[in-house]
Amino acid sequence: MTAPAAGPVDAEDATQDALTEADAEQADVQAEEEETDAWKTREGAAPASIVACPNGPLLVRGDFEIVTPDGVPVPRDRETVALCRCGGSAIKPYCDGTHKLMKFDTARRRPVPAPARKAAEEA
Amino acid sequence: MKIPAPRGPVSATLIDLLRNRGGTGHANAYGSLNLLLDEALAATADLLRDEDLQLTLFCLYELHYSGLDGVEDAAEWDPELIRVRARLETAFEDVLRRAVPVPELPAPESEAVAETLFRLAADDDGPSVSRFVASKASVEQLREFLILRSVYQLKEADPHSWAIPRLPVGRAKAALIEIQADEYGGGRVERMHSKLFGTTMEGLGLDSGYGYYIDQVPALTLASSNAMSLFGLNRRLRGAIAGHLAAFEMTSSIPNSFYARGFRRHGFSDDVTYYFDEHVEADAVHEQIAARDLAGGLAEAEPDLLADIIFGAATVLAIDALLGEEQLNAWQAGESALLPLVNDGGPAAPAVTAAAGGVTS
Repeated sequence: MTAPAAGPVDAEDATQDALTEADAEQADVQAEEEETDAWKTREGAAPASIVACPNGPLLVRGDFEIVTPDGVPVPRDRETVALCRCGGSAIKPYCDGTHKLMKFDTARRRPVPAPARKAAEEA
Repeated sequence: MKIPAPRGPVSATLIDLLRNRGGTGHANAYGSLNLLLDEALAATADLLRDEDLQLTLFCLYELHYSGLDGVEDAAEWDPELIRVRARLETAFEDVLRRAVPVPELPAPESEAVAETLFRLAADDDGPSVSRFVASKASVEQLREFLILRSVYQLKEADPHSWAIPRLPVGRAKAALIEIQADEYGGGRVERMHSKLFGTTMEGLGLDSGYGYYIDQVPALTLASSNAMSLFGLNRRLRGAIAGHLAAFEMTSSIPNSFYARGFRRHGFSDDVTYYFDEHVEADAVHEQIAARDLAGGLAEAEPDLLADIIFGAATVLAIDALLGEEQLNAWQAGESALLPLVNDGGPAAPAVTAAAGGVTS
């Protein structure tokens, strides 16, 4: 299922070329305030939030779109999704639970390679 | 659902009583039901595998779900039947409390509870029906697999929905609603998980009517469903039903990818495997919410429920291990995992005629 682009996104498209990003954001807010009735504000979807699950996926809920680099919506069948971050899923971008088999550990940091560490220390 | 065939004196008496509620000899029927129950409870060697008693409990619970054909809806709250149910439940819960191994309790904090549950699920090394289905099961065995699962899957999510009004306002309730809404298709009937399972059954030539195969389903599978109803229908066990759902979700996404593989191996279409494919993705989401927000959130809100949350989760793993062992033993011996049909009124079942023919590698 694909969600049609919401109003504010269209507004951003129209103004993107002429305005800086900050201006565009400002315009978005104004446009939204003008167009949105009070009941819509209450009914409207919450902004997207991401839960970084320890040793697991990124849980995303709220108002968001997942698109390919060309802007084509990625098929999405549920409101809240889990995005793979261990790299092992067979159904990317979604999680399929493979992190559990991989013993994926979000607390473990990859050691910084010596040359990079040295450069950072000298800087 | 249709009234099942009785499996012993207790279920026979109950079914007779349900059919003739309000008729003459009514009061006597309750008396003999209670007497027979006393005897059966005292005599049973293994309540989890007791065909007569698990079917009796299943029928009593069914009055709270879709009801039994020809039985008055009012039977659901018949005080005498509730009393019988409560006595059976006490014995059943007692067996579960003694038989289910429970790990050391974590702190009643969300992340600690989630960690304990994930570890419990990861350490589960019970017999793997999913691996057998993926690589070895014949089409007949796939049908048996679906028939056994249909007891729960055709009313998928319902037993856990009992918990919704029983949880306090807050994180745990919000989590349960979020999971259940997805289970019921997020407002789209064609995406309801119970509906998808019916489509999979039909793809293998099976009847997707709820309870159609009940007479072929052994006690242990009924016990697995009865445990959910026990936890869901008793407010005092709301911790156990929350833990049950969490463990259920946490042991689902990877096995479901194996099930899908088993059905694809025999050339079944995406329509048939969709139920399993959907669960790979859905339950990878649900397990995160169920572990932290439902089970963990409830432990934080009501720390007294912590032990039951873990007990409910451990119950899933313990019963699954017993079920897996029973099914694999039957299949590996070239036998059917279903009960043989004893009466002519049962389903004409191509699914049980050729138990293990054509096992492919």
